[in-house]
Amino acid sequence: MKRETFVILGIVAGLILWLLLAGDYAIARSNRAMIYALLALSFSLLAGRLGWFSLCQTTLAGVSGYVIAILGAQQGLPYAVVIPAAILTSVAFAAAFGVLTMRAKAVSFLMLTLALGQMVWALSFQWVGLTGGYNGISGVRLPMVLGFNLNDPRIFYVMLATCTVLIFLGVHRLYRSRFGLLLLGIQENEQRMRALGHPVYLARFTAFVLAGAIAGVAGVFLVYDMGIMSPSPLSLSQAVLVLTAAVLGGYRTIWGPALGAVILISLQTGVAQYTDRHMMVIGLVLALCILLMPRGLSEFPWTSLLRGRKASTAST
Amino acid sequence: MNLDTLIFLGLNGLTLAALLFIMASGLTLAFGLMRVVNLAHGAFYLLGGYVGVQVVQETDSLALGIVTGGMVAMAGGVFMERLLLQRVRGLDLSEALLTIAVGMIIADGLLAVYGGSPISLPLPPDLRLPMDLGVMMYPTFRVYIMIAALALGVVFWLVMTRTRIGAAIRAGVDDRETAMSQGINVPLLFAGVFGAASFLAGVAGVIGTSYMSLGQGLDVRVLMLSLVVIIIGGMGSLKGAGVGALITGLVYSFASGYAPQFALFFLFLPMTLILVFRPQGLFGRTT
Amino acid sequence: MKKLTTIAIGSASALAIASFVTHADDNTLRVGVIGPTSGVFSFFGEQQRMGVELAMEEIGDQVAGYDLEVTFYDSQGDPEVTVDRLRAMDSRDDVDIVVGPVLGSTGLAGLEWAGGSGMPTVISYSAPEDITMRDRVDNVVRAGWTGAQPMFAFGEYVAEELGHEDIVMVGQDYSFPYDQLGGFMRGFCAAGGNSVERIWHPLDTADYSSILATLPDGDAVMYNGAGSDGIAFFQQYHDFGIDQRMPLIGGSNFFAVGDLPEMGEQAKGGVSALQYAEGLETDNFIAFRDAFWDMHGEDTMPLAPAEHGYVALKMAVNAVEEAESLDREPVIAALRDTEMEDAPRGPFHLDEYGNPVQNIYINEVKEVDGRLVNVPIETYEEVSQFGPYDPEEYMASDSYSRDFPPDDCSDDFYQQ
Repeated sequence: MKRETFVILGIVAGLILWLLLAGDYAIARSNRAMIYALLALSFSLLAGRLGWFSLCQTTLAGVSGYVIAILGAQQGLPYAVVIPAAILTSVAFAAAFGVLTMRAKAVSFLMLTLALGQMVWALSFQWVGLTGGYNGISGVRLPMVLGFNLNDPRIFYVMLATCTVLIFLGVHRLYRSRFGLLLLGIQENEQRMRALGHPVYLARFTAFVLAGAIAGVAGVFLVYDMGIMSPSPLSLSQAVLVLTAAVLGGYRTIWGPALGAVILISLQTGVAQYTDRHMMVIGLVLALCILLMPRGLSEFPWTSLLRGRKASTAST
Repeated sequence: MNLDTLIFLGLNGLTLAALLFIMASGLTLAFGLMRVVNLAHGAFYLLGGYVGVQVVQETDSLALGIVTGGMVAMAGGVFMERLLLQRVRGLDLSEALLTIAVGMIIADGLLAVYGGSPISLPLPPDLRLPMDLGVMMYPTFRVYIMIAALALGVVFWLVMTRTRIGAAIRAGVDDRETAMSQGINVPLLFAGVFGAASFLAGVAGVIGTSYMSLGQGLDVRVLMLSLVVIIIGGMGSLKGAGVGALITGLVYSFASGYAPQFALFFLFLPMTLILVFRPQGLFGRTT
Repeated sequence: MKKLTTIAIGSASALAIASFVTHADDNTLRVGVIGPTSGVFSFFGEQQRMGVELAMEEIGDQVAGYDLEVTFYDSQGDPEVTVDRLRAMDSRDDVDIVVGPVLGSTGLAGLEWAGGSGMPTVISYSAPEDITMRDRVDNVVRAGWTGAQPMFAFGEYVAEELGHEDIVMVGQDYSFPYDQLGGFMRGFCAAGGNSVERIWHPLDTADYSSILATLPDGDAVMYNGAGSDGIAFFQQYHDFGIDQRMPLIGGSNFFAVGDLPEMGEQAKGGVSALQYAEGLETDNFIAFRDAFWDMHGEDTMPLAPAEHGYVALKMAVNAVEEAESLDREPVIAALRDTEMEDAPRGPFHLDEYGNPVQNIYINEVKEVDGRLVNVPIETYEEVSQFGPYDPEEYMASDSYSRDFPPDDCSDDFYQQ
């Protein structure tokens, strides 16, 4: 427990130091990295605990973003209504998708979430009256509060970092709770868990909805960060980006998703200055990860040696 | 709503269904046999299409273009299966993720080589002329697309029911271990089925470009359409792919005839209904 | 655990270093050019890049005593990436003036960002009308056009010169085609047109056969869209022989030169309207085209995005020369006063809202020197983004949408 407090304090100190040292653009990129870390966490919650690889977590974030844009920027409702409504909508979508995909196994689940995610993406293009279609909805801004412009990247950073740390902490607790262990148990042997009288479907469904809520929070930050909501965050390439971040960092650990997101965003920033073939770069990173280190950087053999082979069985 | 229009819409739906069947049948077969869903399928469509159209443009031979497009995609498929998927065989999800990565690399590579402008297929003019079907005049090449899909279906049916390869594939579908113990060369079979599936994707890429133009981003749409078809029909079922293609093609045709704004909605409606009421698809088996 | 923390810190510092590369040298005019040089829309971004490169060559590396430095940024055609690159220009790379974005959605994202940052911005090809209308901001001007701008004249031409009264429009279901149709209908109805029946289809519809099967009758069909959808529509329109029944006319980009080889001979005679035409024969245009060919090869025809990028950089440079300073205020003031007497497309000046008042050409596809190009057959001079209408009244009406303006020319809307 003490070590944990120490690590948390270290991370918070690091985040504050970064805020003081980094330039404006680095802060803007860090904001993006944290948003993707949240998305990758949402993905990893399902992938690492249940063996479910979802390609619709970015869709859930996008749904939340659209609610913010429509209710906030277009209808002008107060922030206290808009933000909870956005997250609740993500949760509702997650629940609906959860019902549709509950019985699917690994690969079928991947295909179903791909199909459902792309369906929403297609509708976001199509339903111009609601979403503004291809051009999207612009003018999505945070307010001034007590003389602070919340849109300022540094102030935004403080809010986002606080939320990110809290959510990661919460999920960390969840992984260690009985619920977290139940999920792992289901992944390893579903029949046995069912025979032992555990509510297998309910547990899965709950995990899916929780992951949806995290994606919803990420969506809120994403749309305020961009100032405009368009279909592009719902596209397949974004889903693959998040998946790659989680696989690269290691989706079975708590900090793997964050690590993957930071590396991938840094890589993108660097690569963008030299080549236009960024899709190819992401594809290569993903392919190499799967071939060389399927459990990601955070569980690359030397770390599991270090930790005395504590890692439990793989089931990808 | 007169009869002529209905027949016209029906024929359009059948043409689309034919194309969808050519795209989706390989995908579903590979899934049934190996539990691998090839998410690079759309990229192979694009690859076959671009190369095939280029060959047609340079040699003026449609047949050569179709075959070359198919072969190039097949080479890509076999290459991917042998060199990459082989390494993670048995880890279904890793295989699927690898195919996503390969798909992205191929699509981006094609963008680099062929640029972003859309292209169309220069068909011989007499293929574009209408043919008298008795009920109405209809462009000749569209009739040929339907015949090709029908022929493909018959070939599939014969291979699956009458030949040793078919028996092996069915054995592989039902029980991998038994198939291996009966002395079937499983790696060769896998490579063969994967190659055939990619070949069909490449061929569909050339044929489809006869009336839908080929462009960037189409890879994802083709993949989506194929997934919708096999989710409806049941993953792994050839019969399902046929029926799924018919449902999707006809629903889409009538929807875009009478309510084009909502065509996409109607495209996904059957899939959603199936997922709610029969998650394993029309002809899928519960596993 | 510790090792991993090290990795995390390491990669984070890499990010920091990458972003600490700032310039403090004040004697340089830095222009950031943003457009989609990768992804589905890379054609437009590449055109803009080639146009800007030509302008760079003509300008040289000195502007009013400043060193000129132009950097290209890839928007990937994505609003999210666009905002990110614009932030990089502002806070990392110390850019003084932005040229671009190119596409509709990225243009709006750019406007949104520019409004907050105050960056002098010359939007190039991006055409949503509210960029220089209802949502306009002082520091953003445009070198290109609005979606409705060329279509006022086209509507008038179709009704008066071609004599069509009832038009069937098939169009891509999003805001750019809405704007195009809106402008068309205003001009068409004012010039004696009767009605326009509209059929909207989802973007990226590949199969038009069923839309064609239920196509209503009219004097002509207008395809209001472009790109791969346009080619597929054109192809299937002829496959089903509907060209025998009704002639096909197009929205501004339908007969784009890049797509003409795919359409083939049948495209000849196709009519559309734009503020640009690659078949122009003015001295300014031919000089521009020849220089472009010298630089990028004769296979690449300079299209509107190239010309608009070329002109946008010249506008930026002229403004700095005029202002004799890099301070935002005088540069923005000079930008807003832009007059280009010698633009390749023809002379233009900005209206008080920051959009060009320019020639609109009615173009017909013809074969010139073995290639299909759009040749102007009629010119409407000094057309503003408001057409012949009063700006305040124009902006007081709704934005164009799927079913606005009304499709019947006898509607009260057209009687004002």
